[in-house]
Amino acid sequence: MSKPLKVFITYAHKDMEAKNKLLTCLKPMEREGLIDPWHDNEIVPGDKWRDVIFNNVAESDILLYLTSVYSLASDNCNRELAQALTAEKRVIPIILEHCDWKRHKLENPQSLSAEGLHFSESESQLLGDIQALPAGGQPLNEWHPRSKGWESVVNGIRKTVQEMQFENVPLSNTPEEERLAESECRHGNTLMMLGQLDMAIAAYSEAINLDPDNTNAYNNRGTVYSVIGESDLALKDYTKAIELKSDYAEAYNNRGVYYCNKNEFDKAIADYNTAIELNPAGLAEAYNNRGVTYSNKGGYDRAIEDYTKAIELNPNYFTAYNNRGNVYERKKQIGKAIDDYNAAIELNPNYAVAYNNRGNVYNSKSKINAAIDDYSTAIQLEQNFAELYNNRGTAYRRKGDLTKAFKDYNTAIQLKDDFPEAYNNRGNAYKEKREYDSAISDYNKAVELKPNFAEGYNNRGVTHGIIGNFDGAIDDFTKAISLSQSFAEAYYNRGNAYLLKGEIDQAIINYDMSIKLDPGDATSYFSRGRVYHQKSEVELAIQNYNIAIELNPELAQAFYNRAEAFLHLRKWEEAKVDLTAAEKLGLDIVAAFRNNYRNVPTFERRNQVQLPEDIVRLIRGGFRSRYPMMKNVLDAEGKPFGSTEVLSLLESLSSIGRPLGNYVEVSPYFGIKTTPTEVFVIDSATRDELIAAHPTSVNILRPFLHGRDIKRWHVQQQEQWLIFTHYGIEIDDYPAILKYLEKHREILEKKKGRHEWYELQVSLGDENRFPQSKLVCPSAYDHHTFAVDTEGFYCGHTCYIIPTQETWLCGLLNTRIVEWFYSQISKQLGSGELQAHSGYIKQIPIPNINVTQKNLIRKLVDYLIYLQKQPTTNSKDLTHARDFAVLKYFEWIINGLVYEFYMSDVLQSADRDIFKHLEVEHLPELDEMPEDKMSVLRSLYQHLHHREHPVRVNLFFQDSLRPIRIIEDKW
Amino acid sequence: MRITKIEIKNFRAFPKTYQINLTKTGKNLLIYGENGSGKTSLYLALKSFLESSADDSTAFNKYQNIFAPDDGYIKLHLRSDQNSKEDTYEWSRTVTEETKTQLILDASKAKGFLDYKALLHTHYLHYANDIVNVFDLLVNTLLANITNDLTDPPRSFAESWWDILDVLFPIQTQDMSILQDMLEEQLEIFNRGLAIKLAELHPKTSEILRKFGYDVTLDFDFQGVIYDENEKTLNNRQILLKVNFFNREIPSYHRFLNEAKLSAIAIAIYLSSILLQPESDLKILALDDVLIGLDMSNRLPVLDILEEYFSDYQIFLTTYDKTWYEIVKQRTEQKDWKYAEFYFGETDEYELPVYVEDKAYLEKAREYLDANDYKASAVYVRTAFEAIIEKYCTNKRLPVRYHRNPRRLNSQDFWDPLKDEKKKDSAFDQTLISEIELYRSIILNPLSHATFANIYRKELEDAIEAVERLEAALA
Repeated sequence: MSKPLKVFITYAHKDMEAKNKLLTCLKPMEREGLIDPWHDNEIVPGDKWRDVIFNNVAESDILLYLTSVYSLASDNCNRELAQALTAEKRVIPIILEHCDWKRHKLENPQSLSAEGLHFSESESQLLGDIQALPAGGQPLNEWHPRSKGWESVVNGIRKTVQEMQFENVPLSNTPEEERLAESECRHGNTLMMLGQLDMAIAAYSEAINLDPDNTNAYNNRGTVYSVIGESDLALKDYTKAIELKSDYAEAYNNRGVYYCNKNEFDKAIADYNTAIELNPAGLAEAYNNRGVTYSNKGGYDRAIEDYTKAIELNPNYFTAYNNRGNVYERKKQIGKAIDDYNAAIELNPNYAVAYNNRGNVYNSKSKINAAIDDYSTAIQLEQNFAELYNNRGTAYRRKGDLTKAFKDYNTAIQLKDDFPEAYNNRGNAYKEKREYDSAISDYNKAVELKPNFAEGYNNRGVTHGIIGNFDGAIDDFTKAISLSQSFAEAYYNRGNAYLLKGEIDQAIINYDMSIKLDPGDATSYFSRGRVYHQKSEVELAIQNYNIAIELNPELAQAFYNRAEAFLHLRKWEEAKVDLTAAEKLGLDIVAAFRNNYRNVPTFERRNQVQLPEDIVRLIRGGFRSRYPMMKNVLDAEGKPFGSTEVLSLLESLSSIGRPLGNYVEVSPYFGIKTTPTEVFVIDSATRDELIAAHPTSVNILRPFLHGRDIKRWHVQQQEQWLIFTHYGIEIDDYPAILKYLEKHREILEKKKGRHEWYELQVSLGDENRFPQSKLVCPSAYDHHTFAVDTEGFYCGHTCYIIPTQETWLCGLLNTRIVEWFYSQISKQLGSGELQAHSGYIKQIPIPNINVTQKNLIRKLVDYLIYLQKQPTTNSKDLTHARDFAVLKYFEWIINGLVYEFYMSDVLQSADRDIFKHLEVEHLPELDEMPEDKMSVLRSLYQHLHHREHPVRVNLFFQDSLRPIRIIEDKW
Repeated sequence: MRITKIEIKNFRAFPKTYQINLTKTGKNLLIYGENGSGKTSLYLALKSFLESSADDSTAFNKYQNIFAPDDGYIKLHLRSDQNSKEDTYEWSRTVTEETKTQLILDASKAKGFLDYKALLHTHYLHYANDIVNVFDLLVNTLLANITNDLTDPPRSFAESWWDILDVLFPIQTQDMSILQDMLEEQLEIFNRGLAIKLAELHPKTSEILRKFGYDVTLDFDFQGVIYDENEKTLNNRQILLKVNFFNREIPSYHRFLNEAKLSAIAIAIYLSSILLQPESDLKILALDDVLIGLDMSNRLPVLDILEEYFSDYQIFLTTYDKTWYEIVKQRTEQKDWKYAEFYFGETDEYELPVYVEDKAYLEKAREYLDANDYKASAVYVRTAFEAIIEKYCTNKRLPVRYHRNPRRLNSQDFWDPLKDEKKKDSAFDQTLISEIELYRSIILNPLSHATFANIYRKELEDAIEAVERLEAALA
């Protein structure tokens, strides 16, 4: 027995588990004394690690290379492998997983997106040569059960070991040269699989040298030549192999690949046919390759047939799945294409090509993120393929992420500087970035590298157009069209260029062509419409816009342009519909109109029309409508939903002073129910009659107020009286009233409850709800409408009452800032009206101000009550307008004061406070004014309203302050 | 508070960077400029800068110069007086908050900006029945920015008018009669507010109009806009202009109210509307070409009016009328005014407004040279050269070839006589003449649309130097 062979195991640490499994499997052979395995676990601590490994490799007889993505990526593994190969050690790759190891270095990057054409290497049947393990190179993780795979590995190793043990003993009477040639050829196979191509060629050549009839060496050398681009040498080798062995199916297959690459499809198909005839069940590659050839010839159905056959023969043939996916994609059967790519990826999760292709499909379907994910996965697997970066760059560009797009394009170009598509795409990105010079220089490079690159010319043309070089643009489009006669977009672009040059008829011809070539393109119709529009052929223009809109109902600009055309024709209604549609689609029609005509008068003058008011309003853009604008949107938790600025303003306001509910002694409340009001509320004439009929009537007739009678500042009572028949009233004391109510008894009986039919649903105690002096407001209102009642009115339920004598509060409550605060915290009615609601009203913060300040507001409230009562301030006669202005100005002053009381720091630091300026005016009490109070108030107004009076100036400019802008909705 | 410096970059007609220095005292600015030379862009730069404070729809992008590769800006340097610190406010695509400050908001609210386009409306006024209806002119133009004192919160007349149309429109289309009360209420506020404003304007406008030399008083007959329930439309949209001539009404308005007088009236109304409002700290009054509709005799009073009523405003006047420019230059105080001219420079790539201030164009030529912008530099060298020789010929009264239109004269017309004179002058450096001739490809191109073929740095440097020497030699 010879001494055991030293077996060195090269593996990546991630594959530790597999290595241990292998060691376990090798135990029997180790016990038999056949082998002595070594792996880096055996390094004794303290050994110089590198040297130990080096020595062990040098001393070993066999190197087992655990092949996985990790080991292929590992420098150490590769170094060990290189060392072993240089020393001509026997190397056995053990394939752990699909890592495309055969093609790791062989794959030509340019063919990545093309179908992979598969060479078939000769399987040396005679000597049962082992190239990689498990048998057939099928990865271990694809064996079911897995142990079968390991069995195959161990058998393979055992076979090799036995062979090597008897190396020096000739097995047969095969001549020495032939045997050596076989050995060289085997070595070549290993080298080739490990990507050592030059060494592989040398080994095959040596084999041929030793044995000029070694067909396998010819065939295999041919495949290596083919891989390194020496295709003519490859052809020579294949043909020689076929000459020597006319039934050599693999060689036919490989020669077919050569012909296919040379675009000699018929010759290729003939070779594949022969290969398939010779080995109908065994050569899935030949079916796959013939499929590729058919596909290149445009025979998609036959290609699909072949791929399907290839998959039948080898259900794990992921490349065939991928290829079939490509054909489906070309046939626009996107669902089937994605299914095939998915299958390919499932079979080989590291198959970058399929990710790339699936990414392309997603990209074309505008699933940009999915596409980017696929490209990124592919790039992770294959970091050096320029095409992948180019594709991902384009996806990023479509997503609008130019920075990432540039990064990818640059990488693509760096990896492959003769890559016209990448230059073209980067040019597009520059164009989007408005760096037109850089864009043009990229396009130049693209068409220089690929002189028939129609897209590149087209894009360069567009760029020339943008920078105003229309002749250059037209030249480029013409070139693009000459290269690709059905290039609709180039026609369309050339049309645009002619249009910009002012050659309108040329433009129309080009649009015509573009429409003819691509009748589904809305923009061509739209542009042709625009040109007709420009030529004042409005009807033709509208026809074109109609088609454009039909093809793309979201083309806002087409709606807008059609609207303009309708305006020319004075078809106002149609124009209005289109303008509204354009606006709905998101077009800024105001800007569009301004862009075209500057303003309405220009349009009217140019077109000799007078636009109707509502159209003018649409295209001029209205201002925001009435105050208050705030929409009180509440979020899920019932909190006001708004910008942080609004929220923080609200917060700071609500922390001021103390809430109204605290400030007034008695909580506010609503008036009383008076149903049926038409019975219980009577006019003055009826009242007089009732009193005349019996004098006691007067005791239960009370002055009455409806919500609608309340104006700002004071109530305009309409001479209404409430019959106050409270619960438990001695009705017989009031015979006239009883008699009156009797007439309505039928209605009154309908009331339900414990009350007598003649009674209101109130008790005597309710009298206290209506003190002589109080503030009242309607229960629902547009603007805060508090009024001072000093006449002890009884109020209906449409009134809201704040029982207080502090009339300055009326001034406070009627200000913008309080109204804004209230509108933000309370609920609004559907009509947008505000509603009195104690829960919210009680939250209104009352600022801490001193008596002088309260007194000033109280004085102004007195003025306002007086002014509100004057006939002139209410008159519609414009000659009295000044008196209304007086009233509004005093309101404005209260507004300004109250802003100041809530936000004194803001107003004082901006020098826009007015209290100090008013204080020195010593405004007179209304009561102390002489008889003609109106004249006094008018001259006060004149004085305080003077353009240089600090009160006027500060009020005028108060809305420059940020919080006030928010409150007044001007921010 | 005055503007001491304006910096504009890539805004409308201005590609590149422009600086307009108004000195520490913040002088008024008078600008002469050919059409398309950039003077209106300057007017708009100021206006949109101020308005950007209040109106988010005033986006800088709208005005960005389309040929400029990178983003532009407008910067105003402000001083409250010449000894105080200078503050800079910027407005650009990215800097949008600096103008949203009290100072600028105030200034925008109280500003006066009137351009010739606004006055074009006077050409389309309704003349039927000898009546001039100035409703639209007032509401949408002259009083557009003026506050209607009756609105709560305050709104301008243009805004409160649009508020009304905003309510009217749904009523017309959707028959929402509940909105009718609101409409009536808004009309009340609008009508009364406008009536008061017209009454306030009346004395001031008449006063200013008298300064124009029109001894008339104006009356506005405004009866209020009325909502017509049946037709669902607004009636009576008219403000009739009544002119009282020596307190006697003129029966045939159209004889009096010609275009020039309507222009004057519009200007008077606009100026008095500003005078009725409080003044802001920073007070800007800009009139862009608005005097062109006036006869020369009516233009001069405008200067008096500005001096009398707007002495504490910073005034920006622009005109394309060179004669008027020269007159204003003579009639105004140099210590208060800065005079500048915009020309229209053209390279084969772009049109470049040439801003000329205090003849500093050689400096400007050097600046552009340093920035490696040879074409812009050449434009300024040429302008400098033209100004120098033109000034010399004018001062020396050298005979210059006759042209019916003096603007047709080109530099050759001035250079030739100058050259002839100096060739006889032995004290004059004769090499300078030949040097200037040498650089003629750069500096002697006629004003017509010439393009520069290839300009080399050295050549340009030498040309600048030669023109500098020429300037010194001719001084």
